[in-house]
Amino acid sequence: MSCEETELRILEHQENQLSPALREKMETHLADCASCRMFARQLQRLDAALSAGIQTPVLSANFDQRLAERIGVGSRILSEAERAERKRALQAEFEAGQARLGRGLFGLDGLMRHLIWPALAVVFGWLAWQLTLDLTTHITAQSLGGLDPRLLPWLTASTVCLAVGLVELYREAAFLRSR
Amino acid sequence: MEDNDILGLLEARQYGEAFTPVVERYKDKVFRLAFSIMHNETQAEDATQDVLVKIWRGLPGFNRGASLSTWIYIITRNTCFTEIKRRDRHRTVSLQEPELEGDFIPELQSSDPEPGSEMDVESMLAKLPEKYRQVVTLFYLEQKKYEETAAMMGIPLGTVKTLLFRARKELLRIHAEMVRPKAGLPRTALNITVL
Repeated sequence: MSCEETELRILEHQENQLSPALREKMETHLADCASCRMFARQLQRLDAALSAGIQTPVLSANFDQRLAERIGVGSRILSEAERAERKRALQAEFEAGQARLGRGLFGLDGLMRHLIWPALAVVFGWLAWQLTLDLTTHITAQSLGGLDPRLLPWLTASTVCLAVGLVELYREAAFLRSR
Repeated sequence: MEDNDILGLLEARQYGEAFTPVVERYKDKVFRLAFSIMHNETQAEDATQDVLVKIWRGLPGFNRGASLSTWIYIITRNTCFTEIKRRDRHRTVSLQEPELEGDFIPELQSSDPEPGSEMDVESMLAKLPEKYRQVVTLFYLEQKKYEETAAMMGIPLGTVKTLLFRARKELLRIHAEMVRPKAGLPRTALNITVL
């Protein structure tokens, strides 16, 4: 075995990873070659120094606590049962809030807040419709050709107001039924 | 708890239950890998915290077919290298800093002091190029396990062995330089003297 090959395989020899045949060749060469023998000895001493000199670092005592605080779940990771319990508590809190909101809806404030606009729209539509009836009477008496063009915007506006009022009323009725 | 058990919990979407054994099983390995990259305990511990927080957030998206350890080590390396880059951007380099690497190349001779008896490992590692320093540190922190070192660094086993061999030779050279810093001369100067 040459010095170059010995150098390449010296670590395998020191870690007992060579085959018996190669091991025998290596030991024969080391017995004859002072340079390789010294290199092997230096590597062994270096290995011992590194093993002793590279100290394993240790995590701080409060490492787990810091981690738990960072991920925001208190002092430890919640189990599945604890997460389910937390979910139930949040659901109950949500439903209680909904109930309070419902009581507010049926109070005077809630009633006014949710009915005032549809009511106003209905009243306005009703008034507009009355105007339309008058217009109808007018049209009947005077024939279509006698319709005053200046009344056409009023006729359109009244129809739109009536439609809006009915739609709003329907929406509020549907909302109150869902409660 | 083994990785397969943890993967079973992830399969059942029990992320809270899976995270606790992940922390217990990997926090020290992540810390040692981070330390081998950053060479500073405080910074390595902060990086370990960051890594575990990323794992906590990433568990629901973890690819069940992948290796848990590989995934964790990739996160660790990326986190550490990102942090090092961030620190490098803010680091001030002194113009008075002496040049450490010269062309002085001492030869090992039989009269050299025996390495091992007075080796200042910390100083020697500080002079070792970074590409060798990490693998040497991690190898000895992992109780000289080649496979574990390769897995944690994300490189082939053969590359680990090659790097370790070159690193040891370099450490011997550094040690020889440290124990007789004035005995040798730069090769150019030596040539002039001979002539």
